[in-house]
Amino acid sequence: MSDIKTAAASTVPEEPLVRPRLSAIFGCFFLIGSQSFGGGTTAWLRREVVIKRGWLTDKQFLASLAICQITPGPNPLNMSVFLGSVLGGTLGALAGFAGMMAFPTLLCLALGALYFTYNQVPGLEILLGGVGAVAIGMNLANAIRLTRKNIHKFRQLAVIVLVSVAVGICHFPLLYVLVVSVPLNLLVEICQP
Amino acid sequence: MILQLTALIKVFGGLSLLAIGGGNALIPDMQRVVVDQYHWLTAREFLDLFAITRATPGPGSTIVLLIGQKVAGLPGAFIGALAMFVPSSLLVFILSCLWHRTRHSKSIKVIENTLGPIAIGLIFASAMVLIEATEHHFLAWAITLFATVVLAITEMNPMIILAAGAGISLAISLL
Repeated sequence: MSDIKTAAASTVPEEPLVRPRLSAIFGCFFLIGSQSFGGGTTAWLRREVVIKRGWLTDKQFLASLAICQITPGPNPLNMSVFLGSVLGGTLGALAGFAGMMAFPTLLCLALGALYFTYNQVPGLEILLGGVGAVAIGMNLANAIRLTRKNIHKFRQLAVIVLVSVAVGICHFPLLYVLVVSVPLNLLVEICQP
Repeated sequence: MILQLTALIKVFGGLSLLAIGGGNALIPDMQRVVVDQYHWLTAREFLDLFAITRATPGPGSTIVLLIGQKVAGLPGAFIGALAMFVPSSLLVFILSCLWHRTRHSKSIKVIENTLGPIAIGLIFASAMVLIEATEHHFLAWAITLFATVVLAITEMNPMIILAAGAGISLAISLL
């Protein structure tokens, strides 16, 4: 299904594919904010915004994601503001922010009240163990799908491997990795489109 | 109360624009300021609160809500969260407006092609970092691998697998 949308979008890749209503933007990010247990937010974002609703193409989603990863602040929240703004202007950005924060805020405050009263939250370890492990798998599966669908050149694959090894295994600071990889890759894209 | 709220704004407002690479990059800094400098929390409390926010959905840095809650109740929670999240969100908003304005230019395709592989690489990297940070044991590896394979080749709702993950952890803890 998403393949058809991507193909249709390739004629006008710059514009969002639709102009959703504010309530739809809020609802979409509320759903992501309340489902993304254990992390995995990037996967939920792509599932709700690109696959289920078809608001953006994969390429638009990835460019937005990169910008939000470079910018300070939590990625899920940055994405809700960025995509909210792209889809619905200033009010869209506010709707995205509010939608993303609503459920996590309420849940955190409730659990916080529980913790400050009883000094523990029962069942937390259980959630952290299995759910966290699934969420990591969600992100990996999402990255694999994105690679399969959008990466067609060997040199692009090389960039993926280099960036993930530099940050994920060598633990180079993200800022340094970006300062090196973004201009270099831009140069390559301009010289050999 | 006012003093505590201003202190929250100062601490989290100052950290907001430093959180490059997501909120987790900030945790060591935050711990130093909140535990050692201001003595708002003990080290144990900080770790417990961090665990709570990792178990809840949404952005990871919601720990600021709980620190604010400890320091000054509900007003503290909201002021702390706003101080942490508004500056970085404003920056993102400004960038999104610039992005929107350049959307008709030809260079957008080049930019998208440049950033795409880097963004995917960073998703892989975040998974690797998390696997290392959570000290994956055999069972966790198995769950992660299973979730990766199923979600990469089927269209199954991830919620089902999340529930299964919670179920497995529960079963193990009961044994």
